[in-house]
Amino acid sequence: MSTRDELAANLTAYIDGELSELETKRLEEALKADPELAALERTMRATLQAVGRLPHPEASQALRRAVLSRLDEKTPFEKLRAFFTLPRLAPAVGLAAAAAVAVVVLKPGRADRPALDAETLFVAQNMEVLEDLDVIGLETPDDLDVVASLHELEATP
Amino acid sequence: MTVEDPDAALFMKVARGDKAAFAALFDRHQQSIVRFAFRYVGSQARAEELAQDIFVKLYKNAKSYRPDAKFKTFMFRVATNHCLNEVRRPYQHAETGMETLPDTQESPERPDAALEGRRLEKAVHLALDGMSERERAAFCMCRFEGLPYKEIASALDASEAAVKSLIHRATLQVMKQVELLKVGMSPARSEA
Repeated sequence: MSTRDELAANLTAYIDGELSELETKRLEEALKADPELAALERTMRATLQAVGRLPHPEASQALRRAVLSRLDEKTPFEKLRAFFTLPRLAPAVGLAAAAAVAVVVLKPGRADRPALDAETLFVAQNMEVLEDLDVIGLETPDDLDVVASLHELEATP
Repeated sequence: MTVEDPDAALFMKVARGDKAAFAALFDRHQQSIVRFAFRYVGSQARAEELAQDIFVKLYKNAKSYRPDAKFKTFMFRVATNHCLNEVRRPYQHAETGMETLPDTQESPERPDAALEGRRLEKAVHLALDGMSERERAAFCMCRFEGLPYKEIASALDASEAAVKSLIHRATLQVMKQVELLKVGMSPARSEA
């Protein structure tokens, strides 16, 4: 931006009295020296003065009545908060608590589970080992003896 | 508290539920808010609807006010946000044109002045339409409400340098529209 553009950019603030003392002095010197800039300043000042004289709407009496009558109006949040009062919440909380108790009481417990026989328990406890045996193609734990004695079998011609 | 700002003291009373204090503030500022809203929506009826909402919002949010800023700044911040939300609504775009207000300075001896006034009103309206939201807000607060740049900056949450630039750009747009209308209307005027 050239110095002249910078000065022109300050014109509105100058007219509004918003420039610092130094900026004002600098701009006023430029206005004296630059007729084009001075013409722009005059046009701008005249336009802004005319804008300031434009007619404005007058607020009606109805506005005052309308606003004052709405002061006690509840906001959506206040309406929501007003809805969830203790008398409304208490039965809902009671119902929720009853439902929770019912779920806990009626849920099938450990005692209701079918009893496991010893073999099933053994399988369950050794599932990992059994799965390994299955991977290497053995069907029963007895086959482990065969694997353990495999070197003896290999040594036998 | 801002001691020099009597509005702030009144608004603190509003925060404690004092409706009389609110009514006093309303009486003091209703014209400003209607004027400000009018420059956004171009219709007095809609401007009054917006003003209603803005004042009710101010009353409801009085407790959140901290008097480190002037009340007027706070009020215009609320007003700007509300007007911007309003003009961003899709159905707003269908609405065009601005009501022509009766010229209070119009005199039967100066019909040319009335014509000038209407032309300027139109130019300002067209320029406002072409401005960014922040340019429009800054321009209206400055030109129609006489707020200093510092307060406008506070209301818009911007720096003073930014406000200076916004107002300058907005002013150039108004000048451009005035020039365009002058050029466009010259032949018609000479024919008349």
